Amino acid sequence: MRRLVLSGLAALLAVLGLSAAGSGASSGASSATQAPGPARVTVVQAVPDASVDVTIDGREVAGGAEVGDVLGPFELAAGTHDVVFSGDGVEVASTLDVRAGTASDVVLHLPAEVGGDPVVHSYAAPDGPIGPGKARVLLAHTATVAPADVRVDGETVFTNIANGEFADADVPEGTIEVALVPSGSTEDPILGPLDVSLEASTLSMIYAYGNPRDGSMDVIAHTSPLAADGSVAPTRIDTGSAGLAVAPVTVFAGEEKREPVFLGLLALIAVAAGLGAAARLHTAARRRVG
Amino acid sequence: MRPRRVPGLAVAATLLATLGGCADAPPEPAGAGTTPGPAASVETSSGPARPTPVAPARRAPSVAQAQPPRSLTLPSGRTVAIDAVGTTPTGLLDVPADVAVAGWWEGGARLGDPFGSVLVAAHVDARAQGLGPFSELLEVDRGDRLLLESAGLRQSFDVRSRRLVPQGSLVDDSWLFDASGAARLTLVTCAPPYVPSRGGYQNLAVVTAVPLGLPEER
Repeated sequence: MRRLVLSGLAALLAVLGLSAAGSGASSGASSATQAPGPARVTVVQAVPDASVDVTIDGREVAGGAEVGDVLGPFELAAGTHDVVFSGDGVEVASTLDVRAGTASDVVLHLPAEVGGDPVVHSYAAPDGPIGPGKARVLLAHTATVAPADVRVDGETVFTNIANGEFADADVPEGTIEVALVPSGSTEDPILGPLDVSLEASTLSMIYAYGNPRDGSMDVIAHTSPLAADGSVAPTRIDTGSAGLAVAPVTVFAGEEKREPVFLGLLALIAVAAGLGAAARLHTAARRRVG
Repeated sequence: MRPRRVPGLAVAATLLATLGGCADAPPEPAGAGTTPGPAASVETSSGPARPTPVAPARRAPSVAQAQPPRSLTLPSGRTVAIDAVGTTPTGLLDVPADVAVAGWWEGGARLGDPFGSVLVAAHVDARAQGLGPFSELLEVDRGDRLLLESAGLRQSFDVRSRRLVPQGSLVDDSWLFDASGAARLTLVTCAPPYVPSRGGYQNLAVVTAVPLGLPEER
């Protein structure tokens, strides 16, 4: 049939023409200085237990893509493109608008409801320059589960992220521990905690997918380099020249770490006050935190 | 909402792109010439359902996009404008000469970043201007409140500590500007003693404050 022939041809041409941008083999490099260049689109398959064929503008760019597959990036001219996902139980035909010089992910995933049909969302890559010692993270909720909070190193950093939504931030380079928990909770993670290693000046696009009820929660991640913003850490700060400040300056310390101790003592004081022993403990508390 | 496209044009562009095999081919002009032919076939085609535009995912409403700080309100109520500053070739933080304007190191954390130090420094004084608003930092106390604002966000901070750092190299004091660690506001100005023969002020006063809650929209 015609469609079959075309898709076979398309697959061949896809190999020849629709080269992955990451290979650096783009023959149009010479004209890149004049125009912003094509859009770069990465396709992510985040539907568990589905084998999906992906076509862009009629060309099959992947056959039998499984959950976790990250395809591309594909270079697409600015404008509107047809992106079609088809496979067992999956039939999503969509049009994608892209602007020249931009990078984005197109993600096929399930909605929050159990048994819902697959949906497609696009995620613009936040790929602006970044400061020293930082990595950028975009974390998307593409899972079959209610809204979640994101905890990083034990702190709730993002709250109430629903399916089809994302959170993004610049975070310190290094290894962070990430967990998804039900919104408003701090325990019983839906996912994780996972150790995520982040190199300085990189962007990680992370998609949480699956269903916690059947233990299929996992993440799909891909990483790309970011340009440095050119900032250099200061080695000296000089902020005065007239000698007008003369009074001795006192110092005091109150590390964040001491806060729980302080609150704990306050709670203790409150209880103790009820027992009629406030005065002595109050004095002791002040000595310890002062 | 959804961009209206002529189906024939879409198919023509698709066919051309397929046959040409070139990702860089501009689809609009190429498709224009051959519109009539394939238009009929698409109407009878039994292809997949009508395509719908890919929806851009939404940033969760609770997620604040970090922004450069623009002003700081000190415990006295005085508000100090903040400029984004870099570092001079010799490594000096490029603090504005005007004592009434503070400099925020643009390589560090911004208002709304979940981690790291938002470093803001201002001159304590200048001969032409006298003592500046940041001289107040020499007297603030634990628990005093600060308000940091950007173009679209505001966040209150609670003063927790004041330390004196001897004037000189800060290579061992990266906590002042580090992107790591808890989100915090680090305010810096000069502190006595003032010894002209040894370069002027001998200390930096470093006031650290921690956020009281999440950043809010202004």
